Amino acid sequence: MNSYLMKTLALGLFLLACTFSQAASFEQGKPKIQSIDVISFQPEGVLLIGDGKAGQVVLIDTKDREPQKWTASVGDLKGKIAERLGVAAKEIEVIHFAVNPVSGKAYLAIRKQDTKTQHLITVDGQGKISEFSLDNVAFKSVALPKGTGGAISKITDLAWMSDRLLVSGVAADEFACKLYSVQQPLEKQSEVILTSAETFHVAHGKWETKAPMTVLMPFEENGKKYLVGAFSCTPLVKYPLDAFTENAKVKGQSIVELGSGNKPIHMFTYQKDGKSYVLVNTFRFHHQRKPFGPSPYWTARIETGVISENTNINEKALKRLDSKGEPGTEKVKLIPEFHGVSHMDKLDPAHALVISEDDKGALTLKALTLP
Amino acid sequence: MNIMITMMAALLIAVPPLFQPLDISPGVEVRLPLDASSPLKKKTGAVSNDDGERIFYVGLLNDETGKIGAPLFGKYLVRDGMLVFIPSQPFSPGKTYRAIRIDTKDKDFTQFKLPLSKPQDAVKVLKVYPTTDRVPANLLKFTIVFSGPMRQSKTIFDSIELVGPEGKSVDDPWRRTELWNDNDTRLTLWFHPGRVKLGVNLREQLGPPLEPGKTYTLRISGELLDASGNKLAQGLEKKIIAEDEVRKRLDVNQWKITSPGMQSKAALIIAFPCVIDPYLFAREVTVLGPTGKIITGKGLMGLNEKSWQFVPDEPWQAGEYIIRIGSEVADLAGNTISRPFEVNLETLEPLAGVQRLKFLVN
Repeated sequence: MNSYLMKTLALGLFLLACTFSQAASFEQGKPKIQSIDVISFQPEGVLLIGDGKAGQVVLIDTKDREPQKWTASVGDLKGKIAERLGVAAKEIEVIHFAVNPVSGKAYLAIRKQDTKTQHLITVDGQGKISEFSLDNVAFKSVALPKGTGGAISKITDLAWMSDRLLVSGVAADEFACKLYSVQQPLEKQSEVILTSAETFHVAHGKWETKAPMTVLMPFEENGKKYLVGAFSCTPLVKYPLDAFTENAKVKGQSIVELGSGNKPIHMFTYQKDGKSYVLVNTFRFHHQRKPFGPSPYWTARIETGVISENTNINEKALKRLDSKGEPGTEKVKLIPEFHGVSHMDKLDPAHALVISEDDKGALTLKALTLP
Repeated sequence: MNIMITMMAALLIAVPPLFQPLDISPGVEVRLPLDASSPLKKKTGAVSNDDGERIFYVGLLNDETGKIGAPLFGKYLVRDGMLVFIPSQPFSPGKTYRAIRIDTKDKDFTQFKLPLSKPQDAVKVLKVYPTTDRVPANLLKFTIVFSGPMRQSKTIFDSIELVGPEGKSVDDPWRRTELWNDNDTRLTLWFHPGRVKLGVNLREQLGPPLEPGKTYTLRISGELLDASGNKLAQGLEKKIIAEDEVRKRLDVNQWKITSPGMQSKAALIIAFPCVIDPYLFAREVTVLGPTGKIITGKGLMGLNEKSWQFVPDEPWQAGEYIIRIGSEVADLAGNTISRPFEVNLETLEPLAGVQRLKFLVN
């Protein structure tokens, strides 16, 4: 048996095992969802929906496991989705985006303004746009505890890490950072660890607990698991997951500073030519005054060696730009091919699936080679 | 032209519930009697969208170009010899839709336009917190209360402006995270914390959004859209004067309590030396009776959120009462009773937690 076949068979058996182990606790029906803030996937194609208003994460078995090849580039994406929803392009907004790692299908969370409803839309490799109805699906939900202070109003990001779910949330009335770690198996009554993280903020040279995390990503190094988070002031910060215990303050190390005036949106790791990288796209709200490129959306590639750094951390953390605005390190590169990318996720080991926005606000969904 | 496609008599376009995403109640279906020769004629129940769309589909009509859009999301079924299309969500008032046959040479069609919903009273800005016009220069947020549900949109941050003393807009003052309450009538609008915190790059580069001694105008555009897509009744301007920054922990021992009399339903009054965040206060503060039981009643913030009064449901009884103050009660700069907004965690004194103030009723 050749190695490709063996790998495929092994993957198939793994997915099958995952499916059986999960299937037992899924119920069939329509989940009660109050808001779709963010979406992500477990490796076996289970969709994770972050619902901040209801304080829960809803897991949906999409049953979407047919791998496909991406040949499409879908221009006027907003217009095309809007007309299928029966409205004009300006009446919808893309809230969030994820790619099913099993099928390679794109999932978009869409806000339809006139009905104040949210919809899940899929786009397949040939560009076919469909609605993913939540009317009758296999689902389960994990409640996120309120903890001290107010309940979260919004989930800013969530990610699956081999044996646990990681979630970050913000509250409306207080400036707070709430991080949740939910150990598998994910069930309604799963034990949820709620922590607040202490972070050394490079930008202001202080440890603090309160900055809300905008994007997070799992990261593994020498068998040790970490959460890597990004903040509005754009440091990337690494937190050891074994320190996540109830009500603990987990100390994180700032590892790289991307510069102020940016809001990170998506972040993932990949490998190329034997090297590991993180790709992070951000919205630059200083674009009018101090652009990093032709679009307020810009993307940086970071060598994961930076994340493994244990010496140049916190106040010594690498800065993408030095005090003169010049690149401060070769290990962090701005990627011109990704200018305009407002949403992205990893499609396969060599490609990202991205939604690119032009200067008139028109969106294109396409695959880009990972840099 | 034969109208081959019939619609249900009642076009029930219910006003969507305030916020129930993905709760689909179409209220309308489009039906076409199937030809005797149609392969679907003998079927009953669900048919695939591909099969349905080979016979007819419903799309949005572009009133300007006269072109019909791609098929709407929805499902097809065969019932009583008719092919039925049920859209996955309600048709939108004011839009024209066309149902068009694909299986005939003439491509017969019918179209319909749903009347605009009855105009509602235009939504107004009811209140902006803080209501005072004097704020610390490190003010952390505004809370804008609307008379009706608003449209969530990331563009909202471009429609609310902070105008400086020379009439020039303050650049990028907001943290661009939409934070609405459950029915979208209250927006919490945070200043970007990177411009409020000391020593942060953003503040170093752009300066703080507010400078002590200067006057600013918060300008909420009348172009903001409510949930139905209508503009506000009018915009709103609120003048604020920035005073010195406040960077110290909120001290509850400076609060002045006026105790009510026994057997009365007179208000318990607390006067604060500075403005208090009303939402955090309402959430975090409870009054406990002599037996430790929570006293129910009505709490109300006073003028400029510098006082709070509490009227119990039942008359006060003699004894010692406790005002329990949760650790998140804060001033306008995010300084809580537990800690200042900005701290160096390595040199921070132990955090003060929940605090209790006593008062006697006699």
